[in-house]
Amino acid sequence: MIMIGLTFALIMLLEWYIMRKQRKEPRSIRIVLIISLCFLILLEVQYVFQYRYNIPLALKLCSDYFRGWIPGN
Amino acid sequence: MLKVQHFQVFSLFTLYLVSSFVAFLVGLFIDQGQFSTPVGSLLGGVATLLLIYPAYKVTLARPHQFIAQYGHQLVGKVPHLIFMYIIIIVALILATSNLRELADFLILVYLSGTPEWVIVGTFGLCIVYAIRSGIPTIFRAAQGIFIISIGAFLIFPVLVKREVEYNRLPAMFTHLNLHQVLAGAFNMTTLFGAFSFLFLVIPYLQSPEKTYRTLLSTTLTSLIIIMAHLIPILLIFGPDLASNLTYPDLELIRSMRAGSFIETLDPVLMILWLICLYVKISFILYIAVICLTHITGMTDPRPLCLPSTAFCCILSIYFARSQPELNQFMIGGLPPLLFSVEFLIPTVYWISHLVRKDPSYSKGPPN
Repeated sequence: MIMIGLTFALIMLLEWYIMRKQRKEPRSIRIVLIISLCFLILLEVQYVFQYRYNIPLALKLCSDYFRGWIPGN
Repeated sequence: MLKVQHFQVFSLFTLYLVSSFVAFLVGLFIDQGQFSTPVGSLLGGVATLLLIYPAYKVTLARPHQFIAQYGHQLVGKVPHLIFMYIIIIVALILATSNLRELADFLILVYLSGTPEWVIVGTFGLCIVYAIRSGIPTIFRAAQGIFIISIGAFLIFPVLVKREVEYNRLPAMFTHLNLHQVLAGAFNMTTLFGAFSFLFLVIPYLQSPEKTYRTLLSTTLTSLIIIMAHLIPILLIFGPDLASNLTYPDLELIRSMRAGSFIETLDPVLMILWLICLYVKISFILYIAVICLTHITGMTDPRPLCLPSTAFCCILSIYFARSQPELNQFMIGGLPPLLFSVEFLIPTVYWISHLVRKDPSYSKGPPN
C-alpha cells in the first residue's frame, strides 16, 4: 500500500517537473495530477479489497444481477 | 504528423490477433467450442468484418479528426463522455489482463521465483517508452518484428506434423454443434473486434479509405495462422486435454521430436510471445491514453503515458486472485464488455451520424 503511494508520488512529481520545465499551461498540469490521483485512489481501493472484490468478481456480480432481470432466470 | 502505412496496420493487427489467440486463448476457446472451434473461429473472423462496418463508416466521415473530439456532435455531450469513459476503462482492463497473463506465464514457465512486480515493472518501462514515442513508433515496431514472427508462427505447425493424429480429422466435420460453433464465433468476434480500436486513431492512417481492404487481408492472414496452430492442437491433444492445458501451444512445441538441435524451441516461442504482446499492450494502452487526452481537452498525450502504464502494471498484480479466476474472466466477463465497446458503441455513433447527416460533414481537414 505504501509502495503504491510512493510510486505514484514519484510519478506525479516527475510529470509535474517535466511539464513545468516544458512551460505547459497550468490546466494541463492540473489534469495530469488529478488523473494520477484518481488512478492512485483506485489502486489503493483495489489493494484493500483484493481478496474480497476484484474486477473479475465485480463483473461477474454485475452480469448475475442483470441476468436476474431476464424473464425465466 | 507521421502517418501509419497500411503494411504497418497489417503487421500490428496480425501479430495482435495471432499472439493473443495462440499464447493464452486457444485452450479457453477449445473448452467452449470443442471440435467446432475451427468452424466457429472462421465464422467469427468473417462476421467481424461486417460488424466493424459502422465504426469504419462513422470515422471515415471525418478522416482528419479523432472521434473522441467530435463524437459529442453526433450523440450529445453526456452520452459521448459516458461512451468514451467506457472505452478507456475497457482498454485499461484489456491491457491489465494481458499484462497479468504475460506475468503469470513468465513466472510459471521461465522465471519461477521472480517477484511479479519485477517482471511487470520491467515490461511497463518498455511500454511507457513505446507509447511516449507515439503511435507511429508502435506500428513501426510491429513492422520490424513482423517477418520473423510470422515465419516462426508458420514453421512451428510444420515441425509438429509427425505427431498429428489424422484419424481425429473427421471429428471436425462430424462433431459440429451449433451451440459450440456460435460460442466459438462470438469469442473470435470479440478478439477480431480489436480492429475497431484502429478507427479511434484514424487521422494517423495514410489513406483511411483503403483501411477496409487492409483489414480484410489481415483477417485472412490471421485466420490462416490461427488455423495452422488450432488444428494441430486439436488433432494432437484432442479437445479435452487441450482445454485443460494452460498453454497448449507451448506443449505442442514441447511434444515435437524433430532432433536434438531444434528439440527445445520453447525459448524461441517465449521471445515471440513477448514481443508480440509488447506491441499489443502498447497499442491498447495508447488507445486509452489518446482517448483520455482528447476528452480532457489536452493537446499532448505524453504526460498521461506514465500514470496510465503504472496504473495497469500495479493493477495487474492484484487483478485476479488466481489463474482460474483470470481464465474465467477472459472467457466469461471480458467478451461481452469487448463486444459492447467494439461494436455496439460505434453502431450508436453510426446511427446518430445517419440521422443527423448534414452538409457540414466535410472530408476536409479540421479548422
